[in-house]
Order: sequence, then C-alpha cells, then structure tokens
Amino acid sequence: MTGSARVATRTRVPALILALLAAMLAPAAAAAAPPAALSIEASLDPQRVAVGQEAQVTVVAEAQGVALPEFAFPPVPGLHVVRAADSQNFSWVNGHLSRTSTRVFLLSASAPGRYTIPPIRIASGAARAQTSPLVLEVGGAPSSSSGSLPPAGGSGEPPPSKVWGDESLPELFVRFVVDRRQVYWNQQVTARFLFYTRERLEEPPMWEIAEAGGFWKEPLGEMRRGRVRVGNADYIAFEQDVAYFPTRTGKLKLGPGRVEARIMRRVDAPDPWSFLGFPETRVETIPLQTESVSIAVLPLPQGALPGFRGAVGQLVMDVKVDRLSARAGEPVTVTTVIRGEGNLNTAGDPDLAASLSLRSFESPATVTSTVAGYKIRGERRRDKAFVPEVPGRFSVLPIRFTWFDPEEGRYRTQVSDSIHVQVLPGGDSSAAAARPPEPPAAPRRQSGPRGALDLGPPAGAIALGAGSIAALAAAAAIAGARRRSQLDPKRRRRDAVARIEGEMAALHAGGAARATPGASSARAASLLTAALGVRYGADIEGRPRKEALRVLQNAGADAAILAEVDRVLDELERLAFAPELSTRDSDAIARARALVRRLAEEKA
Amino acid sequence: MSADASALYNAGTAALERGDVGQAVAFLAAARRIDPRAPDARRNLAIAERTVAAARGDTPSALPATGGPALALSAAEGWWLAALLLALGAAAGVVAIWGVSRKRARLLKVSAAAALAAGALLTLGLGAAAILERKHPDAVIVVASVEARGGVDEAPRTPILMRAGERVRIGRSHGEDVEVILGGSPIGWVPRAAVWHVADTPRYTAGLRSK
Repeated sequence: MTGSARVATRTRVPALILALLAAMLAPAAAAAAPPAALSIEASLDPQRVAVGQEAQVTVVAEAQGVALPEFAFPPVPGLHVVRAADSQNFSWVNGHLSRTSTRVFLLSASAPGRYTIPPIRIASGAARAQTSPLVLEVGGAPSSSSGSLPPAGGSGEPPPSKVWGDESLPELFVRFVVDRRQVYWNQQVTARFLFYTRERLEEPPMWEIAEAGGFWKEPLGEMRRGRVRVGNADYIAFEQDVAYFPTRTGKLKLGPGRVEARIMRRVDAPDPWSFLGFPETRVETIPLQTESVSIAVLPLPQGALPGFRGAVGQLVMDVKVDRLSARAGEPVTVTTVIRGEGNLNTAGDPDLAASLSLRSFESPATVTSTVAGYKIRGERRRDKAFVPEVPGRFSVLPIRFTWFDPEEGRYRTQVSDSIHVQVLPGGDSSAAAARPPEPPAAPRRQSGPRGALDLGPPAGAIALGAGSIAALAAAAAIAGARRRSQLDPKRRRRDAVARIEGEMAALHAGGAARATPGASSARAASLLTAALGVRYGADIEGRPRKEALRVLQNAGADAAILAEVDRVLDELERLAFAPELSTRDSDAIARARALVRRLAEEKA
Repeated sequence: MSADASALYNAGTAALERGDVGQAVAFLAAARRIDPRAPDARRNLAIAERTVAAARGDTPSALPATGGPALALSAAEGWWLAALLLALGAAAGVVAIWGVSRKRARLLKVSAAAALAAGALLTLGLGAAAILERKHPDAVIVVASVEARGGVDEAPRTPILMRAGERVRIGRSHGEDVEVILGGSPIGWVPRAAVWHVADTPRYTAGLRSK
C-alpha cells in the first residue's frame, strides 16, 4: 500500500522499488553475559497478495542478557525483500535484563505462485531458535476489496502520481503502512505514515491524518526522522506512527494521510543584480496523499468469561492492599493495577467486594500510558477504600479480571487470593497502621517558648506601625503646609519687606561707626526703592526717580507716601554724593527706615 | 492567649509515637505556629505529614520532605517585622522631609519608600492570613476516618472519605456539624468532634496532662 506523488512524468516508476532501511536505534555497544535463552517468532500479514503488492513479515527475536545475535531474512527465489524497519527494546524483569529486536520486512513478487519462506534461525552459544516456515500466496492480479482480507495494496485507486528527476527514483513520495488488516474489536492497529525526500525541505512535513471513523486514536510519540536507502538512492525519511483501536466491528477505513512538503528549490538563473551573488531559492509547496486502507474488525468471540468488561490486549493484574491491620474506623485501601499492552482507557475495572457490608469509597481509575516501540503500554490504577466500623476481621473477596487476548484469540482470567484484614479496636494504640515510618525527635524537657496561636497582630506592633505612619503623615502634612505658605505671593512680599526693614535697621544701628556715610546713604536709598517695589508690586529698580514715582502712583501708592518718599530719597541722594555730618546722615537713614517700617506694617 | 510551644510539641510527639497522626499533626502544627524554626518540631511534623500522605496513597515523590521552610517566621514575628519596616520607613521619610540636604533627601526618600512598601506588603499578606484564619480556621481531621457528606438542605453529593491528619479549613456550622473546606472549596459536612482547630489545641494538652 503505497501512495506516491511525482511530477513531470516521463516513465512509470516500478512499484517494487520500495526499500526502507530504518536505523532509529543503534545497537548496544558492549555485550554482557551471553544470552541464556533465545526465542524468535515471525508473522506474515497478509498471507495472500497480488503481483506487485506487498506483504509484511514481522520478526521478533528475544534474548535474556544484553547481547542479541543478528539474524537475516533467508533468500527466497522470486521474492523481492526489503528490510523496512528495526526496533529494539530493553526491559528489566525481576532483575533480569531481556532484549527484544523487532524487524519488519516487505515482500513482493513479480510472478504469481506459492512462495515458502524458510525458517529464520538465530544462535548464540549453545542456545538456538528458529521460526516456523511461512507461506505467501501471490495471485495473478490485484484483487478488489472483496474477500476475507483486503489486498495488500489497500483498497481504492492509487492517487495521481507525479515524478521529479529520474523516473526510477522519485524525489519524494509517501507511504502508509499498517501492521495488520484484520483485527479484533479494540485490538491495536499500528499505522505508519512515511514521507521520503531527496530534496531540501524548508521545514519538516506535518502529517494531516484523516479522521478514522470507528477508531480510538493514540499517537505513538513524536515524528521520527532518519536517513534510509531505497533502491539506489539515499532518502531522508520522516515517520509518524499512530495506534488505532477499533471501537466497532465490520470493515472500517483508515486514512488517507495527507502532507504538504515545502521544498526549497534552487533557481537556475540567479538574479544578475544580486549584490552578493548568492544562489537564489524558492519554496515550492507540494501536496501528497497516501492511499486509504480497509481494516476488517472482527467481533470478539462468543462465550466471554464472567467479569469481562471490554479489556483487550496482553494484560496482567496486580492487587495491593495498603494495610492488613487497621483500627476500627480506619480505611483500608485496595488498589487494582492492570498493566500491559492494549487500550487501557476502555478496559473496565474488576469488581471489588468485602466479606462484610462495609462503607466503601471508590476513586475513578487513572490511566498512564507510554509508547514502547509500536505499541501502547500502560497501566490502569483504581483504588477502593473499605472502612470497618467494628473490631474483628474481614476479607477482600477474590478479585477476578477477565480480558481478551487477541494474539491467542481467547478470553483469559486472572483471580487474586482473598485478602484478610484484622480490625483492632478504635482506641488501641498498638495498631501498626499509622506508625510513623521513622522515629520522631525526642520530647523536650524544658518549657517554652510561649506565644500566641492567633494570627492577628500584637498590640505593640499595631501601635508601632500605626504610630509611625501617623508621624510620617503629620510630618508630611506640616511640610506641605509650610511649602504652600512659602509659595504664597503675599507672604513672599511681606517677608521680602520685613527682610529689607531688618537690613535697614542694621544700617541705621551702625550709623556713627561707619567710615563712609555716603555709601550708607546710597545703600539706604537702594533699600527704600526695593521696599517700594516689593510693596506695590512694581518694577522700579534702575529707573529715574521721577519715573519710578509715576510707576508707583500708577500701582496705587498714596500721594502722601510718594511725597515723603520723594523727600527722603532726595535727602539720601544728596548725602550720598556730598556727605556731611554723620548725625544728618543718621537722621536721613532713620527716616528711610521709618518709611520702610510703615510699608511693612501696611503690608502686614 | 499565650501557649507553650514545648507543651504542644511534646503532646504532638506523644501522639505521633502512639500512631495518632491526626492529633500529632494538630499539636505539631500549633507548636510550629509559635516556634516555626524549631528543628525537632519541623522534623516530627514532616514525619506525621508523610504518614498521612502515605496512608492516602500518595506516591513517595509527592510526600512532604520537611515540615515547612527552615527560615519561616511566626505570625507575631511577621507582624513585628512589618511594624519595624513601617517605622523605619516613616523615620527615614520624616528625616528626608525635615532634616537633610536635597541630595541626601533623595536617597532617604527611596529607602523610606522601599521600607514602607515592604512593610505594607507584609502587613497585607499577614492581614489576609489573619482574616482567613478568623473566617475559616485552620483545622485537622483527628478521627481515623470521616465522611464529608452533603448538608441537610443541600443537593446530594458524593461523600468524600477524609483520613486522620488531613488539613482542612472550617466553614459554616450547623448543629453538631461543621462544613469543611479543601483547596478553597467546601466539600461537605463532618461532625464537629472529628476536627480540631489548630488554634484551640492548647486546651487539649491540659486534658492530656489530667489523664
């Protein structure tokens, strides 16, 4: 079942060139002890194909120990064999290491006939194992979807094909492989969506997988990438694996898978105007699509054993109880764990019951799963707690788990033993159930420290915090008020006049002692002019006296004041330029001071 | 009301030794409220909580390793620290406003703002915890197991099994029943005698002594 997309058809590509060498896991480097036990199994699916179609042989070899001997597919005349995939698993079971190697071969024949595949043999030391012979029947022509099994190439017509480059070596193509075409209800079908390219991709391809009606789907990990050789060419292969679990019976359809490849192609004629001269590339988007595959889903056989809840797979059940001795009122939890390969989400839980009528509490099951090779492996865990109320003894009745094993094609049952639980009186301190896992620290001999269990604030802390905030708020309020008052223009003027008045007083007080009375008079005249300017809000500094007086008059100065100012300034100017006795000098400054004080009082 | 941390610790340790993890968790949680950095109380509380978690079926990786952080503060210490931060911030702010040059004032203002912000955040956190404790007190299941069921006038709900030592908060009360809250959501009603408030544990130590 292949789907391929090709461009520029020149000739048809032979459908048999479908070689795949997946080397996802490197073999272990060192071998430990020689393997103690060997086993190998091979399965063929389907057993009948048409000429040109493929059948798949899956070989699983297992050995205890690290080393696993190599094995090869025996040559079969007339059959073309391609080694398609390898996977290896290591597992520790009860302290023993075992290694499993799964190898998938794709077979195709160019002529009809009956082909017998001889046993595949492996040997390590004295241990030997071999598979049973397999028989592949190849019919004369591709069959339709009728019959018990669908044809190997899948149902439906192949999609339109396109080829790039060499006709025998497509530059990119896709394939869709399923591990089996006939399954039981809820049995896993592993689907592998493969993309091969010899071109450079702008980004990894993203598979868009058509919804498969009637299947529960679980991706098998992230997309894998590897280098493989198909025919005579190396390819980069991208593989996306998905596990499908059929939820109804009949003939169901899987796929098709679609993918868009974004290929970076080099432009043959680079841009002559390109400054750097780098080769130019362009991205070409190419849609590709696989074929779809029919899956025959068989109903489970009649005669299901009691307790069957729909679990299908290779499963096993563990039962655990958290204690065998409990006090009355203490819950005893019984845990069932179902683990193995299969769809554990739809597997039901086994019934849990006690010998007595006890209160019980059941928690919903939790499922954890991991991907192991091409299989979903996981565990389903469910707890149920029984609460004994009276001392004595009760039993958890045998737990029966039934599931269907699709590999063996039959139902299987596992039954646990009864679990007996002793119930001690509620006040009995000898119950081991709640014993601490380690010895506690010793008791103290001294008392203290003491403290409150209330989570509220201590009164002292409230006082400290609140008091601090209040103090800060008060300081900020006072500072703000002071700043606001300093910015008030009336206050600024009053302060300025008061400052001039103080300076004038100092000038007057030092009058007789001054060596230069003229300078004092000039300074007094200057201070008086400044005081007038501040008082009336007029700019009179540096103006001639007449003009200054006119400005002051316009600013609202009283005429009597102006006359007095004119007289005092006149006297001070005369003294400044022709100093006389210090007494007259002092008198003039005193009059100027009185005038300034009057201005200050008016302002206040 | 003041309580003795050692008396609570000894009561909790004795309960742990006799396998009564519910009382052990209650007493030791109370002791840790008063003296959260005491290594013996932290160790025994961790043992008790691990015992509870193991009985609940938790995986070993999910079991608590310690009984809380080693550098934790008690509520009272936290409140004093918050008050001290506020006081330092306020003092720095007052000095910045009144006493120093403009360049120093800027540094002081930044320091004051940081201290005040830290103090305010701590106050808010402690205040929220105190309000929550007052509204929904911290409590511990002290009986071996108890069902949290729906209330009398409430829609029926699935009963939830609670085991000794599980920490809950208490909501409303109705008759002899109280509502238990787990993870912020009320999950059902249990008998009042099945839970101890952590803050009320000192009165049970008196009862133990009298025995």
